[in-house]
Amino acid sequence: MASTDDKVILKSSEGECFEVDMAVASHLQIVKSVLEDCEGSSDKVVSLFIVEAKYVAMIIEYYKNYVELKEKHEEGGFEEKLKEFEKQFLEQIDKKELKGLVMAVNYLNAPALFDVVCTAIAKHIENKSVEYVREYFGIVNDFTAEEEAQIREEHRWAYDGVNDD
Amino acid sequence: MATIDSHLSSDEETKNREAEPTGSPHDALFFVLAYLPVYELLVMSEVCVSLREALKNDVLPWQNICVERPLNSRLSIEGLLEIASRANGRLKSLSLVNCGKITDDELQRIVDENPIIRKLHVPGCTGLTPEGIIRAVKTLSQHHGNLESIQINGLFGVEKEHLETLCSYLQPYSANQQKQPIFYHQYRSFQTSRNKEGRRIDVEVCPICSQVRMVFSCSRETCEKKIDCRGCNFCILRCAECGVCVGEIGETICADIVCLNCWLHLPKCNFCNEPYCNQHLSPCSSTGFVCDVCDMKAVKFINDVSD
Repeated sequence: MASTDDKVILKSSEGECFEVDMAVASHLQIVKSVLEDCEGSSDKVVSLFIVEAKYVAMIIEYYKNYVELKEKHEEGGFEEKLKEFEKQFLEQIDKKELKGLVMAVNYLNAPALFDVVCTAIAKHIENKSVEYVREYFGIVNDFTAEEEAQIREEHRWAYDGVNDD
Repeated sequence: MATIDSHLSSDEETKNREAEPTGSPHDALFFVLAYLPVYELLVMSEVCVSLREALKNDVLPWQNICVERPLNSRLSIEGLLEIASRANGRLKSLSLVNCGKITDDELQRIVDENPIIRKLHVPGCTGLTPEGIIRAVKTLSQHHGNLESIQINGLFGVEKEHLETLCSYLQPYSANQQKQPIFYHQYRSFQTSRNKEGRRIDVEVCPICSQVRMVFSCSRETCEKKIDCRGCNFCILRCAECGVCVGEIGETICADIVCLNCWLHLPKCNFCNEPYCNQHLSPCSSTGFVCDVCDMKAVKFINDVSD
C-alpha cells in the first residue's frame, strides 16, 4: 500500500482534485497539520476551500520542483538551481495572479514560496513613485489634500531628486 | 473527510474583501510590506490611508532597516532617527551604506534605544569614528550580546587595536560557522550587505601591509602565482570580473582592472575596441555598442564640422 500511502489529494475551491506526493504536500503546513490531526483515517483528501485550482496548480508546481531539485543537488548547488527555476516560474505569472498567489500561499502556510512571491511583488515597487504604485496596483488615493501635503513634507528628505517613473 | 473547518470563517471574510471593487489595496500588499526596503516603505505609507495605518501600527516592516543607493545620499539625521524609531525599540538590523551624514551621536542614540540589534552594518559611513563604533558595539554587547556581525569597511582611522577591541565584544565563531573568504568580484557586484552573511566583521588586518582593510582571497583554487595572494585591494590587483589576482592587466573604459581572459570575453566598443566591465556595461544590442568616450568624441566632431 506504500504507493497510495504517500499520496494526498488536494481539492480546490472549484472541487478540482490534485493528487500530490506527500513529500510535496508536507511543505504546506496547513495540509500537514490537517493530516496529522486525522492520522489513522484512510481518507487522504484535503479540501482547500478558498484556493482556486490555478493557484493550487502553481503551488504544486513550485514545490514539486523544489523537492526534485533538492534531491538532485544534495551535495550543493541547490540554491542556485532553485533561483533559476524561481525566475522561470515567476515569468509565467501575471500581476493579478501574483497577488492571488500570495493570499493562497499565506493560507496554506508555505514559507519558502511566500518569500519568493512577496519578494517578486516587492521588486515591482522598488524605486517607484507613490503615483506609480497607486496606478500599478489600482489603488485610489483616499487622503485629503492637506493630509497628503503633510505626509509629503514629513518625508521630503527621501524624495529629493527622484524620478517619477 | 479531512477538512479545514476552523479556518473557514476568517477566510470567507478575506474572500469577500477580495471581491471588493478595485480602489483599496489588495490584501497581498500588506504581506509584501515586510519585504520592502526603507524608501519603498515611505512610498507605501503615502499611497493610501489603510497602508499608512498598517505601516504606522506594525513594527515588523521596520525591524530591518537598510539604506543604500540612491537613498543614502539623501538620508538626513532626522530621517534616520524617524525611521529607526518606527521599530519601537525592536530594530534587528541596521545597514547604512555610505551614509556620510550620520555621526557617532545618532548611532549611539539608535543603539541605546534598540538594544537587540543583531547586525550593525555601516560601511562607508565616513561620519563615524572607530571610537564611536566601539562605544555602540560595547553598548550592544552589554545588553544582550545578540550582536552577530558588524561592517565598518571604509571608515577612517581604524587601527589594529580598534579591531581587536571590536572582536572582543563580538561572539566568537561557532563550530559550524567559519570565517568565509571574500572574493573581490562578488564584493563589487553586491555592495549591499544583505548578501554577505556569515562573517562577524568585514575588515581584517591585511597580511601584506598590516593595515585594517577588506582582505580578499583569490578566486582560483590554487593561485597560479603559487604564492599566498590574500591581501587588500591596495596590495594585490584583482580582476573585477572573476576576482583572481592579475599579473598582466586588461584595461577597461571604466578604468577597472580585469584579467586578460575576462578582457577577451567582454563585449568591446565598435570604435576603440575597449570593453566595459560588466558592472558598467549598459545593456547593449547584439550589434555592439559605442562607448561613452567615443560617443563624446563623435558628438564633438559633428559639432566642429557643423560650425
